[in-house]
Amino acid sequence: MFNYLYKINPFYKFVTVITLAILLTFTSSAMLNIGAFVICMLLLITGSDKIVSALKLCVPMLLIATGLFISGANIGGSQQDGLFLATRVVAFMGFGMVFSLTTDPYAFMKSLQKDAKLPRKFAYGVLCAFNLVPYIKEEYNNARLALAVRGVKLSIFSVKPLFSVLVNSVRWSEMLSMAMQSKGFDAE
Amino acid sequence: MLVAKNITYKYHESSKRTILEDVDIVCEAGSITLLTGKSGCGKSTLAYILAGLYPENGGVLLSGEVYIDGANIQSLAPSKRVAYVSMMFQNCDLQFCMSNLYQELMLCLENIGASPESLPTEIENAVALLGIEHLLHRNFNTLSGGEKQKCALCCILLLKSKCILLDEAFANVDDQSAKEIIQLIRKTGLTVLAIDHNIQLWEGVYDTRINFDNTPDFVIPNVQKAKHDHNDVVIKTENLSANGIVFPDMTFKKGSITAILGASGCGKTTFFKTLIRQYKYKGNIHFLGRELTKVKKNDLFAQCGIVFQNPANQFLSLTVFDEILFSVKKWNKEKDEHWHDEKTTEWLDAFGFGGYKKYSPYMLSQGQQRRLAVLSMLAGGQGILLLDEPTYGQDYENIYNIMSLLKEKAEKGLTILFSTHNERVAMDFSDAIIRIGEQHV
Repeated sequence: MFNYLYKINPFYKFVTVITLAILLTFTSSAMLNIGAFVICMLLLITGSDKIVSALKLCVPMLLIATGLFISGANIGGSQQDGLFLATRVVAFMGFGMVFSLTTDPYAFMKSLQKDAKLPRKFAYGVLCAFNLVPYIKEEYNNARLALAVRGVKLSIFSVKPLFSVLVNSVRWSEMLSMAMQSKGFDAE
Repeated sequence: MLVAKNITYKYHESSKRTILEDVDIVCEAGSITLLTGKSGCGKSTLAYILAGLYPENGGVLLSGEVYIDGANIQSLAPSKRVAYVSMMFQNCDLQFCMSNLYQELMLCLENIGASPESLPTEIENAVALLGIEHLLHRNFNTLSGGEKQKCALCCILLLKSKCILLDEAFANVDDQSAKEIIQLIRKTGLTVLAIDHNIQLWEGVYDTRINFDNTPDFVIPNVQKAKHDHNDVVIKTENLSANGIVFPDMTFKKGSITAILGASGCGKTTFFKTLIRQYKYKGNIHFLGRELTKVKKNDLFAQCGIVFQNPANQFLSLTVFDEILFSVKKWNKEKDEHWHDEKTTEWLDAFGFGGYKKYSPYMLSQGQQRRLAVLSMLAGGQGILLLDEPTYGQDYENIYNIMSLLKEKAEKGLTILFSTHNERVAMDFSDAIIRIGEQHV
């Protein structure tokens, strides 16, 4: 396909998606919501190669939407209200996917700096945090494993591994910030 | 030229103990200075001060100034400072802001105002110099510790600082690669201050050596191999492969010490994690006579302890004392409290933690943390102990202390598998050496 979604300036893509999403909040038509979602999916089909990932993301999305439909119908009193709430979430997910699946975080950061005149520090900080996420996840698994090896009984709700993740995260952010300073990035 | 005068430093305004007292240091321009000393003696702290990172990021500098080529490092903002000094850290995971080397290099170069046209060529040259072209676009998450350090060095070389500080930068890199990189650094002609326990790496390369705490050099003793006359097979692997790595067939006997060697990224950690059932594997692992997949995890951990590469996530208590007490209690439930306390004290003294009982484990230096993690496992009663890089970040004296204690334990029947980059230690202490990573899928 054409992959044109990747070529749009990330900041402009971001602004467009956010603007459309905000505009959508002022409407109250379930059909419009569904229409927005369908258009998003069409964009992903014609303009990117991420439709498979998008469909995978649709599974949890449908779960949330179903939940909202039920609670919306109960609270609002009519199925119409439920449907409206559920489709709203679906539409927002559509916008989110169009942006996030087709935007490289690095390019987005550069665009934020250049087009949105965002301070560099802020942009880098966001990216740093973004790159730490997989480490935090791995750290959590390691911490659980380490505790299990020492003979500590753990349930899914145990906070012990979270404690060591927290301690380590604070240290990480310090270390990382020093490493970046040593590479010439000015501190806050 | 790097000149530091009268450096006196402590961690807290209120603390009585100074970490550094009246330290002077001079590194001639273009020279390589090697800084050695026991772990925990303040070498890393000094490096942080020389790099201008302390006291800005912590601690109190009571006196002292650092000059590089006449510029006062403390008075410069990081963006100006990088022209004078840059640092390579002990912890290789926490040096990058981006997800791969290419992005990281672009970011660093743009930040110091390099002209955009020249960037791709500069980057190409730098990675070619270190021979890491294949790492340029790989996600940092997928790199081994050694590979990450090569990337970190690549960044520093590109930043063209006049002075490079290396804080145990090669502790997680195999000797061969480390020596190659050191030769490359030598060629750059930059002023280098390197902290390293592994003096052999720098043999013939350094110009000056500073023995930081003035302790006499540790003479590596002749080690008698552990005697073990057990013939029971504890673990046996056949046609094992996991995570895309093929392992040679291995047999580990009760009471034996086996060293596992191999270049960075060859799968040493993967092997250990496979043994404690963290990865799916093909082939067979016989664990105490049973196929590993049939052993329940709780039973497995009751038989087999492991010390990870990053010791910090092994701790579960607020003080060093409680940390060991936990293991002692856990494994000696029938004994009374007094016995537990005494045994804990005994262990701590034997491992040189006598003065650190009230410290938080996280306050210890990297080397000390590792020792504590090893101790926390030894204090348990498992019959098999896996140690992932127990020598990393340790001075020789500590390494030999730890390994000798492990050897004593092995003579009493503890089966030990440890991975290391240190050939000497492997030769001295192991009954068998296994090299992995030569046969990739």
